[in-house]
Amino acid sequence: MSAITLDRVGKRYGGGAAAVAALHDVTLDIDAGEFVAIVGPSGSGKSTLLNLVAGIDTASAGRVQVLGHDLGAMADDARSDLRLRELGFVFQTFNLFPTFTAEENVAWPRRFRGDSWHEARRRAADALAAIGLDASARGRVPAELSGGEQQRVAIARALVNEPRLLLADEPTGNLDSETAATILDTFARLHAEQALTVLLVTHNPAAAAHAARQVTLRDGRVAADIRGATRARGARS
Amino acid sequence: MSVAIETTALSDHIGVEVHGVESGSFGDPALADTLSALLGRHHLLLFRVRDLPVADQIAIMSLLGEVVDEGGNGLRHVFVSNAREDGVLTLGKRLVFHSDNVFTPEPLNVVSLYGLRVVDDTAPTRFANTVRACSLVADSMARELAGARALNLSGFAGGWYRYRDAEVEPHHPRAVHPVITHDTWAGDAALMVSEQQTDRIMDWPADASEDTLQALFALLYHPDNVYEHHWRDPLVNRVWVRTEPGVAPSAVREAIAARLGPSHGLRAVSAADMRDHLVEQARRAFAPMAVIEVVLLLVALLSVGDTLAANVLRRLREIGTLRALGVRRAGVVRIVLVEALVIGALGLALGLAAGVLLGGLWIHRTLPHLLGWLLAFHFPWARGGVVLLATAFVCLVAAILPARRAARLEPAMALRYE
Repeated sequence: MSAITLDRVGKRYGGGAAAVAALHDVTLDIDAGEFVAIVGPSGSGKSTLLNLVAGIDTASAGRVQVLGHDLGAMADDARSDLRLRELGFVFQTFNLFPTFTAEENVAWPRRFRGDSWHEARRRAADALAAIGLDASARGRVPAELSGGEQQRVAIARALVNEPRLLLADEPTGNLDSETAATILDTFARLHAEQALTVLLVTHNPAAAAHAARQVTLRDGRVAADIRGATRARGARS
Repeated sequence: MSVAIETTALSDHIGVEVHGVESGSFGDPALADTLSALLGRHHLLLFRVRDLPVADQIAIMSLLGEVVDEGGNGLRHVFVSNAREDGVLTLGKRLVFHSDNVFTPEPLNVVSLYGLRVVDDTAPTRFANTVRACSLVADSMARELAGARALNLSGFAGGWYRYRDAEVEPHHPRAVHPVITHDTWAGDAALMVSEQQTDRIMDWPADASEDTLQALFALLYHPDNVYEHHWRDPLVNRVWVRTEPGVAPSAVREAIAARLGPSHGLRAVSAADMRDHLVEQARRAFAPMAVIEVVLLLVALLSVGDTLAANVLRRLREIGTLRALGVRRAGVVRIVLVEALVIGALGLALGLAAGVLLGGLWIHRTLPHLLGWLLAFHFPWARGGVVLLATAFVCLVAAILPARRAARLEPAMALRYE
């Protein structure tokens, strides 16, 4: 069953002669439970593709279908609800809320779903424990956490609503190689344990090696789509 | 024949204020007996009459005897002033106690003083009761003073020190009078010595003379024996009258206004009228505040709007993150509106604290000094409710544009914002 289907998708920014094409005629099909890395050099359209799948940007041409929903046909509120309930998003720069503690950052998506603050905090604590964040770090604000700890908090926040699809945009881009490897191992473990569909955008081949499938973009087009075995867990990128 | 008038004591032992004699009736011969009797009993009569012409003063004094032409110019009055060129006082000096014209063979029986022009900080005039002082003289001293006579003299060089025979030039007037004489009006024994003008008791040893005079001065000028008249008393500018139970305040007010109003320039009002007047004055004084309040609300509108707009700009990435996490546009709008209300609530709390503090200072400190009233602190709950709603309304209006802008942000673009 397809989790993500891109059918002849194009994306242009601006109009007229100044228009810039970020994606051309991209067709891609990703099954539920796959761990796919989107790789390619800077400006190849990786993040644009991820934004289209997340529904935070809209395609100029073609059709984007996520978990059975045609995003182009959905209203903005419906796309928001889809992100809230079915998608988790991890950013390169973590994007944690600076004035809230790690636990509160993770609790917010549960609050957005309608949980009580108490229940949201409980679920956040569980998510942080599952992701392996030290208990003493839960009460700290992001500025008091290391880069690796912040990214763990961001991953816990992405997973706290138990999504079916995890989207990660250069999640190790701001981390040292050892921490990056730990984070990527976490993705691999989640993918294996929870049959989570993971779409990982990276320009780092070593990071991409954690995925079972690598889709290479170049100049907004799919240049290669290679299916292979995932690297052994614990391998260093 | 006497005239029915009322009096009020000025002090315990000397002087009464005379009520019921108006300007224009001073020449009434029927007053003569009444005034003579009052002078014999109280020694000092006070009339509060505004704008009393010299003619009226001379008329009332004429009832009591021949008005002397002290100035020798036919006017039959002189100016006692430290401001007029034709006044007899030296600028800035303070008179000591004296008896007018006691240095002449025939001292004056009565003197009329009228405050024609009085500056705010003018010195009071003090009057001593010579009859009472005489009654307090010890019997042994009284016996020694029987038949004693004293030398009184004038200095004509100001009035702020004691004139002494050895120091004053011979051509200045001198007169010898009994130390104990008889009051003109009731015939009571009275002292006829004064601090300024009495030099010595004739034919007494100098020490005995001076000791006795000082003892007499101590009796004469003891505060209990003196009435101090303030020509324009700045300390008393209102008098509160409490009525007995069952007495209508309005009747008392009208009586006071009728009897004392014209002579004292009094305005008699009830406490309720006074309160209404002050409330009206306060309302008028604070009426421009309505305009200021509107201006302040406009300033608050712009400030809150500007703050929120800056917040939205500063937190574009946060807003993008919220949208990426699944928050709807309406959710972003709600967040900005709540921020606006929080800003308003903080401003309201600060304003409330400052307002209550300033109001308390006005009520408990400033107004009691200004009005002499103790006021109860009253919090305007109804107005407070209106201010609360107005603040919330202004903050929400101020938040509309920033909230719309935040909601319309494309999440992908907001996330790219550094």
